[in-house]
Amino acid sequence: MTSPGLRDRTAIVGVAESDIGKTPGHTVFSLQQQAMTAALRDAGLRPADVDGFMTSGYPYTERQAVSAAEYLGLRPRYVDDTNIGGSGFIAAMERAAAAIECGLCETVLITYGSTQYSSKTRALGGRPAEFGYQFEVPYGLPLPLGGYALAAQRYMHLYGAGSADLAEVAVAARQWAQLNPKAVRTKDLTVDDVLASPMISTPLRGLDCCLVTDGGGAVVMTSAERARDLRADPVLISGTGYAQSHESIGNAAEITDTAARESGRLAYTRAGLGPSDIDIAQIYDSFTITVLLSLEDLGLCGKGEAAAFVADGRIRPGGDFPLNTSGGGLSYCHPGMFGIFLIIEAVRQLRGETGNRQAGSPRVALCHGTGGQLSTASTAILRREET
Amino acid sequence: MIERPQPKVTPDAEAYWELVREHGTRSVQRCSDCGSVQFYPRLLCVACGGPVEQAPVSGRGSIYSFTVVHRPPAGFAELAPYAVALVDLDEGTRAMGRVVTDDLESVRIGARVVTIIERTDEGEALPQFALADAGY
Repeated sequence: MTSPGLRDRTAIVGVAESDIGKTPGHTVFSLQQQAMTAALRDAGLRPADVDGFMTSGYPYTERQAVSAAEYLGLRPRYVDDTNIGGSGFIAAMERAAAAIECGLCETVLITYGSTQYSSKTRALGGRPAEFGYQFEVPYGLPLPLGGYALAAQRYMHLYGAGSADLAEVAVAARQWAQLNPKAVRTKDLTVDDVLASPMISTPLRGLDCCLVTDGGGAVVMTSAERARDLRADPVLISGTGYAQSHESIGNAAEITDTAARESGRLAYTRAGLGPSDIDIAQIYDSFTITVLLSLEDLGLCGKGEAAAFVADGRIRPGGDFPLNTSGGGLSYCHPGMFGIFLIIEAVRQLRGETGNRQAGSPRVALCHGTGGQLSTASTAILRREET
Repeated sequence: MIERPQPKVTPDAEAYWELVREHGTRSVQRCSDCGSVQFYPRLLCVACGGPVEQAPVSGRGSIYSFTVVHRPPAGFAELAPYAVALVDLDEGTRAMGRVVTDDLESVRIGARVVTIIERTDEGEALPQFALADAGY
């Protein structure tokens, strides 16, 4: 069950984002084409080299991978458009690794594109009151934010964390964003600013919440063996894990113990590494609380200790534990399913390509995505190949 | 005015909604084979696959967590701010509902609640919660 069978067998060889922020004139497909072209150039590959294709999470169309592949001019022999929410693209890497290792395909392109800002498709709620949601949507919980608010309230009750502890996550993200020329939100931000932002759903305030932007991204994977002949230094996929605990928040067993505990355990075991081996982390910050819960459940600190862990500037630029060095979904960009941007930033940091925000020379990076209402969790441990 | 979303009742949940509408009662499902209790309603027991019965419950419970919504989804504007809670029912399982109160400060984790039935002019009925010491 925890076979190291896929350990270091595949690699990421190209990454790129598209235009991000406000992208009028773009569609979800054109953003993916832009990102794909840049990521393939990064890898030194051409569209004709892509024989596996994975995407998900944009509206308007059925058969998402099929229609996107058509637009991109691809004729893949392996496709996947599984949508598990924000943990999706990290979990996609796991399936891509398996497909490559099994010989189903050789080069997998993973893309995402969203125009949620320009098309104003983001709404709090907007989910039909059907199936399991017939017992939740009629009560007026904003979704998905309300699920995270319920978790934050209980977390603060159980462990004594305060709103200022949540705010520290947003402040650190902003300081990283100020070092990222592509970041959307870069104005100075203090803990007091976060605490003064409008209450959305207690205890979460406006600045505890991720941005709403447009944008897309692309990741190219192939076998580790083939990666060594390509343009960039390969970033190996050492271990991955996926877990889920519920769909809607009313069905979580304990909302402050997330599926990250299991996805992290799987990823560490498969990689043959542990929390103390992690040099840098990219953890989905859909809301500030998401980061605190993930840090604990991934074993980077003990349960209830995340507030102390992030204190004293530890996750800010120059701190001991570089976290969300792009500025994250809170300040860099957030087109809706941020997972692909976690991968892109981890790869760039491992390659040493991030300029002013480069956090030393990390060897091992952890990427962790959370989807739905703390429903799904995917963890990937990436490693720079020793030279 | 934008209407609030109403439950789109599925066949496996008809017995639940009928008990709410006709009897003003909250209910859960109990497995006839293994005795497990589950909510929301399914065709069969998720623990053992056995047949289930819709079983009325006291409607009493304790607040597991809650949030006071200041920025509501479409249809709920005139209610804001209002509290939405997850409640651990005394008979086991958890359910969501609004805590209907003018005293939002008293909505706390661990607070005791009872079930009340909210009825609309259109004949729809939704089980909600109220604080236990509020005279219900």
